[in-house]
Amino acid sequence: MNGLRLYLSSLFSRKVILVFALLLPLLAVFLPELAPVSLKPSLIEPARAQAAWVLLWLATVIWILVEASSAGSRWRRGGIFELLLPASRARFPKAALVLQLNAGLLFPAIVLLIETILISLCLCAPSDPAEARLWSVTNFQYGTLYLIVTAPLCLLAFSLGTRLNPVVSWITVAAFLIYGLVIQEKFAPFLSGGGIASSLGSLFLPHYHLADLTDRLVFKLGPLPPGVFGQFILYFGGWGIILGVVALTLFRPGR
Amino acid sequence: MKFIQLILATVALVTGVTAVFFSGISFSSSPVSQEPTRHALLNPNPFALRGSAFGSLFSRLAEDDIDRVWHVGLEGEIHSVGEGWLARAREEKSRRTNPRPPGGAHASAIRRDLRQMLVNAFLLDPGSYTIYEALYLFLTSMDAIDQAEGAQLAGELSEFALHWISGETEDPEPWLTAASASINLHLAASHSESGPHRARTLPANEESRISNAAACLKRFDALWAESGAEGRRDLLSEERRNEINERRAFLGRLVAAWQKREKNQPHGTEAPSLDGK
Repeated sequence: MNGLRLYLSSLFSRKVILVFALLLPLLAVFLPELAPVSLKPSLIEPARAQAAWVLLWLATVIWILVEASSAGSRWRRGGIFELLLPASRARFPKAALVLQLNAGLLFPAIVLLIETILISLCLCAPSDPAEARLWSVTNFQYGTLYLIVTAPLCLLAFSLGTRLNPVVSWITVAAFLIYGLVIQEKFAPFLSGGGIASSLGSLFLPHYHLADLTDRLVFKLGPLPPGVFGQFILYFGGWGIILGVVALTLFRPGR
Repeated sequence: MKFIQLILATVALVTGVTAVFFSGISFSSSPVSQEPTRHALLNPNPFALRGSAFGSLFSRLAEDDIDRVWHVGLEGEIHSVGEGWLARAREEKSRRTNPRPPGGAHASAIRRDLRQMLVNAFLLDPGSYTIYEALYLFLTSMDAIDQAEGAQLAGELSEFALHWISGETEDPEPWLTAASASINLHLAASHSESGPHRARTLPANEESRISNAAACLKRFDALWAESGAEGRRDLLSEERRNEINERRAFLGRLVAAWQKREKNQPHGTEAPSLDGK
């Protein structure tokens, strides 16, 4: 577990995580106060959950992926992989090293995710107990989908960082995520003709907007049915495996 | 060793592609949402922005921009925004000094932008009467839009607003929008009645539009009183409360005039005058 320890110690010594861990709950509570909802106070609580989840996605794009690609780039230049690889006794040392390091890289994502879910459960849960149970199931589903989406992207950003300039690798992966979250669905009406462009974009680029359950929280639509949730897990798990293999192939330990 | 890695990677890739492919197939066979909710009309809606509290915030913020584009871009004039050097400087900065109005392609580009801005702002908060009225006015009065198309879009817009607001049990303001939408639908129907495409009979629901508008105003009154009793109303600024009261009074006069006219001459075609309060 050298890789994991290495990453965590560098994370805690740099303390950027504190900024995000403090800003996320503060902004999630205070941003909804800006909305013109004095006549409609029941909108405030869903707005907090909405703010928290959107800030989590934002933190993923502007910090967690940056961290992953810069770590890959920095450590390759520093020769740390060359130091750690020969010491590894794993069967597939390269893969073991990358996965360990990424367990560390996911740590900030998990911290922020736990904060988000806590805000959502403690400050925004509906008062009716039956609805509150549906609310917590939705949050659990959202958190699971978030992690399945984020983990392979961190891995990809990290491995691309060992090949390219960290900024380039971050922009590539962030664009991939933003395309799947927002743009894929925006293009859908224009590409619904069934032409080659639409099927290619729809098949070869991910539909991360399916993992965005914010509307199910804000409009209290209830959790996804288990069958549909299973399909989503399968879909994003499939994308995770593909991106993981690509990332392991791209990883370059040497200087 | 390399060989085993290659095989493992291939197996993993094939598994991943299969998972994506098969889940993709089952998506298409089983739709996620079984019944059409009012929110399904707003798809795609990334991060649930449209229709949420932040949606109304961004819709309010868009009002100023829309105002500027409409008045500076199309009419070449800007309303006075206030006193003092800075306010005047902002006004002067946006004043058109070119004596020629924007022409041809430029004007139509501005109109297209304006329409998109209005539609976006409306979808962010379909209950806001400012944006609803502005979009309705835009669709029915702009020369460059085909009249029949504009009227149809305006009708769909009003139906959508009514549908959206029908579930509102807390906020009084959207019921003013609903009342406007009902009146507009009635006006559009009676307009086509007197126009060249005279319909033989009014559609069955047209006669109830005015009573529907009256019911919307009643809902507004109840919720407005409730928000006053709970102290929520006092959180609004003085100007905003006056604006809402004025709007309510105006719609009340309009509905009363239509009701009076319907009682007196059930099949007339002239619009009622607003002078008698």
